[in-house]
Amino acid sequence: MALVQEGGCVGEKNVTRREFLSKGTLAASGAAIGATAGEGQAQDETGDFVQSDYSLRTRALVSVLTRKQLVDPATMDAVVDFYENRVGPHVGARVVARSWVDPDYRERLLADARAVARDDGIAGFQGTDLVAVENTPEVHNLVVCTLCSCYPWPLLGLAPAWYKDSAYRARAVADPRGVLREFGLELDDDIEVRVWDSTAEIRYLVVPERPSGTEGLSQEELAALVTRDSMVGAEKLNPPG
Amino acid sequence: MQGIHDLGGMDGFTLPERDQGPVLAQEWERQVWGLLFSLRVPGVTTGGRRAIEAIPPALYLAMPYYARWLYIQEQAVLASGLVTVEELANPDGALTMPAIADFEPARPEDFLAFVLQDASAELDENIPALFSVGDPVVVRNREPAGHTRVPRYVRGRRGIIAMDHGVHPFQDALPAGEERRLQHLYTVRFTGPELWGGQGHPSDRIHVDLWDDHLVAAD
Repeated sequence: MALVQEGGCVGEKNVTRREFLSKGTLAASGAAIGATAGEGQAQDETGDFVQSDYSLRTRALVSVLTRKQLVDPATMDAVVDFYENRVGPHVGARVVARSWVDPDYRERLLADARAVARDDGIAGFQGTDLVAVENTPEVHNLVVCTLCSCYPWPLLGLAPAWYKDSAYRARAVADPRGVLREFGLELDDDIEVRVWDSTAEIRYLVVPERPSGTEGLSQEELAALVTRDSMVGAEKLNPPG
Repeated sequence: MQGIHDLGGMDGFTLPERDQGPVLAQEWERQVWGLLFSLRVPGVTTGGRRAIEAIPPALYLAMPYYARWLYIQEQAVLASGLVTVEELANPDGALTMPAIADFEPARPEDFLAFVLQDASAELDENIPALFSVGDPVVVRNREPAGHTRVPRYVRGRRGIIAMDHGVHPFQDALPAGEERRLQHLYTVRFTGPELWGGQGHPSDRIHVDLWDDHLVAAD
């Protein structure tokens, strides 16, 4: 109930959906639009309330564009399938695992990741101009995009919410060690932390250190150990088991 | 531009947990993302990140990530005139069919051709670099009125050229009287104390990708 009343900070309680659309204040108006739904639908959880409004707005937009034959729903499905299934951390993990077992490949990857991605057939939108940076006992790398949310989609899929969060974008460049500590990784003072703020079209891939105790594993088994967040630099990889 | 999106170094935000669930967690998020690559209509320009940067600051901070992409798509279709406010307010009601000659919506194969292309931003141009790896530089404080790739936190700061990526399209809005020209893109390395004074860690190295026009030679 409280939220419905607080919706007044965006607009008056009985503002109509049409008024909001025309005022160009669509987004943060979630609570206020929700208020028009009536008292019976008041909710305590801000997240649920706002989320339900985004659902309504999305449904309206997609419905109108589809009915007008401006958008093909099959294309929308193909986009989602591509980003949910075809690209993802499994692609980057294969690159990392091979770099652990194939010194020539590793050397090429670190010298010219773009050429390697091209050879491997994994270059693509938001990942063609690739740079790979390696973690070592002396150096830890961390990738961020302070201005938006740039991320190597062909290798890692879409970025997780934490990567796009205001807090991560704000703090990763100013206090990377504090961020990593909160993420569960304590680094000694003499470790060099290299932060990469993706402000142009270059996309960065962190090559994490190979965990100990993995000497007998196959490349495929090694790839299964490589986590998404380790390839952004948000964590180190633990020995298996 | 001193935009709200330029978040590097801002205090007061609380770091979230590192979520490990699906990256498109909600159905509306999946639809918004699917639409972003399917909406290819003459006269409809979302403006991409530039449009997101233009979201009013209080709204920007209040919106989840995918809501920003929803917002700019709503604004784009309304601005095009192909969709009206009334239609979005009553999506199951009457609507006016747009008349665009020979229009076919983007097909799945169009999307796949776009997303899979090996499309480097690097331009095949023989333009000399103004700087070499190892050169000390200072970031110019240009303050273009509009889009810029120079985060506030490096303006006026001193760094070292760490990489030369060749010639890349310059992405900033241009100050009055300045012409767009071909130029090199670099990765510039800064120390923690250079950027954050006593709060900066001496073993931190922060890297930012910047172009020739962003930089001047330092002593």
